[in-house]
Amino acid sequence: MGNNFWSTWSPSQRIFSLIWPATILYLIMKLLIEKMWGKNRGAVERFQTRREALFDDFKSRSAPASLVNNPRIVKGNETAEQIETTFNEILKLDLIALKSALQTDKYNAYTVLCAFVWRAIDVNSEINCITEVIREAFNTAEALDDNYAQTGEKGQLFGLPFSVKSNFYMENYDVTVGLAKLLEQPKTTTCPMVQFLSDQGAVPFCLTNVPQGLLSYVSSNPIYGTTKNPWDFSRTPGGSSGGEAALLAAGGAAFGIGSDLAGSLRIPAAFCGLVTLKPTQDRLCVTDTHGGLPGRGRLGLSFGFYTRSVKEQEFLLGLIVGRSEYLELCPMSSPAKLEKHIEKDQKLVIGWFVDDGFNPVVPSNRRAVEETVKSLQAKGHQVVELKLADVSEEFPPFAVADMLFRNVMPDNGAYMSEMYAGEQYDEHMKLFIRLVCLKQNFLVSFLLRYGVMPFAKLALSKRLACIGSAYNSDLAACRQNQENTDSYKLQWIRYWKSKKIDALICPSFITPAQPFEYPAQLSNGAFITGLFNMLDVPAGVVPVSPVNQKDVDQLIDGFSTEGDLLLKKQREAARGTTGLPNAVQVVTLPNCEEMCLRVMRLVEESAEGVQRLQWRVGASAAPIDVENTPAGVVSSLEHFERVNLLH
Amino acid sequence: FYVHFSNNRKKLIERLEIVAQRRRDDLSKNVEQARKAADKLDTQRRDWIGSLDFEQLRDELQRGHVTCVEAIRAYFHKAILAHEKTNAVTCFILDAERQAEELDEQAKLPYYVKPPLFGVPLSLKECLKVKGYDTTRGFVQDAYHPATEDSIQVEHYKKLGLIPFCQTNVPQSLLSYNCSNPLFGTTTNPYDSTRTCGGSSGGEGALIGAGGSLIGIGTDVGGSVRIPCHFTGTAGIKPSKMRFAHRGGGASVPGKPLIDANDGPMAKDVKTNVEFLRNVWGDIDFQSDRDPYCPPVHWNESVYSSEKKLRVGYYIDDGWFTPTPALQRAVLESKKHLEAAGHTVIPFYPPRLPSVMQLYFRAVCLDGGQYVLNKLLKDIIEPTIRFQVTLWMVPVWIQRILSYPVSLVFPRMGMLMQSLTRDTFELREAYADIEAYREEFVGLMMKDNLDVILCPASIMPAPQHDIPSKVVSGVSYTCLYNLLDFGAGVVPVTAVSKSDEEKLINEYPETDKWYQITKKATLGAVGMPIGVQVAAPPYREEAVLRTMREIEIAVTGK
Repeated sequence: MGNNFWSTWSPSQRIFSLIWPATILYLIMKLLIEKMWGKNRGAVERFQTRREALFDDFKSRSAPASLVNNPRIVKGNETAEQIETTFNEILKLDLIALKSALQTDKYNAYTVLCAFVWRAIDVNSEINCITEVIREAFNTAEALDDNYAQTGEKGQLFGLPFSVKSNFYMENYDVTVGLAKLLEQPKTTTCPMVQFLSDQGAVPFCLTNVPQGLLSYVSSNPIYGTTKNPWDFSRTPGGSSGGEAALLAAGGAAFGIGSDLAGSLRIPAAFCGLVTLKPTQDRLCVTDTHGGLPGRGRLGLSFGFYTRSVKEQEFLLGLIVGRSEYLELCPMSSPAKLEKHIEKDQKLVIGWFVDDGFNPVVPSNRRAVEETVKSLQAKGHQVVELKLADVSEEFPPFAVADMLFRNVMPDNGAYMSEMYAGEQYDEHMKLFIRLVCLKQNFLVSFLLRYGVMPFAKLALSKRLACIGSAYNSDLAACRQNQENTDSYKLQWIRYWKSKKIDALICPSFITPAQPFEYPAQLSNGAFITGLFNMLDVPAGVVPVSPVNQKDVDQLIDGFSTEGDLLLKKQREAARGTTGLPNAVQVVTLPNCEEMCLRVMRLVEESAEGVQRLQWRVGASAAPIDVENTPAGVVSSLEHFERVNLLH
Repeated sequence: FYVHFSNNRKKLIERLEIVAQRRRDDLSKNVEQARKAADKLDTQRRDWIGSLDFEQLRDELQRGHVTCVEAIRAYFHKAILAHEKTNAVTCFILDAERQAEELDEQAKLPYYVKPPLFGVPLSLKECLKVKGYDTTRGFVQDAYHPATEDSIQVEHYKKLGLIPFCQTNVPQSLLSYNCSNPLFGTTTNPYDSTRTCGGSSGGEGALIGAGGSLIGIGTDVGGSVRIPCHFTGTAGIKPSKMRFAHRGGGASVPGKPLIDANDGPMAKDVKTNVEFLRNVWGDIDFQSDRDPYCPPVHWNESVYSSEKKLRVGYYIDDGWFTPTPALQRAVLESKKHLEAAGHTVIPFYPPRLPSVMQLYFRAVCLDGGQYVLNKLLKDIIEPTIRFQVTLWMVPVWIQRILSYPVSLVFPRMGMLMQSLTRDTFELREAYADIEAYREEFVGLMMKDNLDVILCPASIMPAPQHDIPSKVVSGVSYTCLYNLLDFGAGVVPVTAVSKSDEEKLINEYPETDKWYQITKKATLGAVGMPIGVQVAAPPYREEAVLRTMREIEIAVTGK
């Protein structure tokens, strides 16, 4: 009977009966796809295609086999093996040695660029730190060599390949910060910092990964994917300059640049074992970037470099801070050069703390500070323990944390919510983004502040309650918060001077590198770095003795969670971190970057057991203990060996 | 409720009137004490000291031909004369005589090296903190609350040898460009007592304009140094905020970012400003050590003394408020002077001024004006700003609703009615837009390779006392450079002429109420001084001063 029914239909009736359900199905599918990607799906696909094509192009152009007999390759270009040997020699050099080699014609710009591109492409295929390559890089290197041949002149950074954090504007390149809606909107200007470095002869060759919207410390987003930490592939390199730090730590660039709004330079440096310094905001003013939080309240947005050593950091900062060539590109930057003289043998007064009063740090990060302070004391410097609770009676640490979080979101997250609207959420940031968006609903935010947060404070986490309760109810509250911030800054300076300290040493973060899922849950970690953005003081990070097994063992009875949910998460995040980089933070008064660098160097000299990663060439030297080593570390050790640093 | 409120307010006002009267009586006594001190100096000697200009007096003090005590007494006298004419002074710092005596005693010691500005009298705007003296900002409620310490800057000036000898009047809350408050009354323009001296450093402008001080310090958040200089025929500069320390400042709206107040020197001429800043910035480490947020950026003599020809961008109309003819003529005359000196002067157009005005008001009154309004409602409200206060009392959302019909008739007024911030989202947006605008503006200057900007100092010459609160939007020429945080100065160039008045009558627009008020206020202003404004990006104040100085030399010949 069914068959009979169908067969009695006319052909037109049959076609019609198929059209309707097909149409409905199409609309449903379209809705689902648009919900996933919005209107930007096409843009994402076009970008992915272009990205892969450029990666392949760079890979082939830097492959030793394709460079045989290329006259631009110096020190032997007759066989692929010869070229590879040269490349490996170049890649072993630190920044100062490489600069010297380039200045003395041992290598030329083209050869060095090929070497770094060759390595960076391999590194990227493992840890996904690069968002796209800069098409003009090879032409730039050729032009540098040709110009030198004609004029005999070299800039100070001649031929040094560097990576660019992808929120810095470059002419003809998109700045998406991981948001699909910003694709296919190439910038028409170049960031003055990048322009200056290029004018000095450095070669920008790639853009590096960042968190979606720049507002997390996991460098992951739907467009470019997730960047892994080269020390442990199951962990994040930090953020928002995470791609930059990961690439440099893996040996894929000569140096890196980044921005810091609440720890975005320092957290990746701590997670990846690099040196960085966040200057006072106006000491190095940079424009033409995506700031992450345009219109933020009292938070200093600073820019700086990633290097492997403090000496390299001094060199790069000294080159740009207060230089007239840079001031011509960016007139609003301070003309005060880095030249305050500090006596070499001067004994300093070093303040220190391991507990910021808001969020305790895990044993490894605590030990880093304690050991550093001990060794500085042994060298004759005076050490003074500080308690953040003593800075101001009016503002105890939890009140300062509230102040900070309210400065991060003066509009209670409305801008962030708008930024993420219509976007596919990154899998590692989903929780954070959803919470911010939910907060925009009046009823939800009301229930959150007066119902959920008081409960959370008692039963779950004081720190979670503090973050969730940070809210500018109206304009008067926002103004008052900013007035309070100004007042706290004055009290900080007064406290500092009353203790007569030259610099402060404190933990660089609450844990070493974390697995990908934890940053969205542990926003509380941003206090120990964000505090110094709110104060707008220089803050540097220096690697010290790596995490050891004892540190990890002590997580059980050496780190009290006080029944706090976030502290439990923190403990979990710090498990399995043996061997990972460990660091301390060095802080000074505003506009005292010179003193900060001085103390950073002292810290570096006193550190023991610091390692760096080197790409493995040839077969593995020693078998990896797969049984007792975390999977992420095994993956890392298959590609990188850990080499002790020599000072 | 209203009856209850008005009864409470009446009682409050009665109490405040008593305090205000007591304060005015104290001022009278204070003036008498200053007069006694001044009378200790021989008349002929006093007149001679009073005739010296800044450099001459400084040199005589350095050589010991004039003692510090004599200098202070001479300027007590001159300030009293100026005060009688304009009501500029809120308090004579009688401690100055003791400080002068101390300096004179130290000068006798064989090893003593005189600081560079040894013994020079200095007047201070009342909101600058001096230990033991009030900082009321024109609020009766803040009277009799003396500062417990000097601000860093006042400390620094004393170290350089300067002697603060009096405090000068301000408008209530510092947020107007007239100079009246219920505590000390109205300060008048030395050229015409029916007209205002400007604000908020109006007392300073009047005092210097009337010859009562050689050099003074004002503060500027929207034109508060530059407008008084323009109205009173004096010269002054507002540096970008990073060039002075800020600890201990008395902000009118605490907590607002981006639109920071900064101190600025004011004097009879540019030369004095240069000499003052050369010494202050030559010793800027004093301030940096005490306020690390102040970067150690020293005076840059090579920029100031450079022989390199400058590229100057100029405009006579910013697209928001057309200045009266005299101000336009002043810019064009200055353009000629600069071209005659060999500089390149080309047209420049500040972008999107109407939206800049909105951003400025949103950032200055970041809480929709609530902080200031609350303070005013606990005080006697100055009659000349009652109009402004009335506007502030209208809820923001009502202003928004009314702005739409008003826009149909008066577009500029409608836009301004949308200027107060409504919520935190809009505030964040305003901050973001200000930062973006700064980059854009500097980018435009860099594209044309400009060193400085030349433009009108205001929209009109000095008006009557109640006009500023009715033409609040008239600060567009000065507040732009506060929003940008540029160094910006004003130098006197000319005076209103008969032909300017004729042009005003025949050509000046009357398209809306503001233009009508401005036109009417400018009638009868023949002879009033007119200045021009010069501005440059942060840390380039030396280029501003150089340009101002060249204009000054071309105008005065010295």
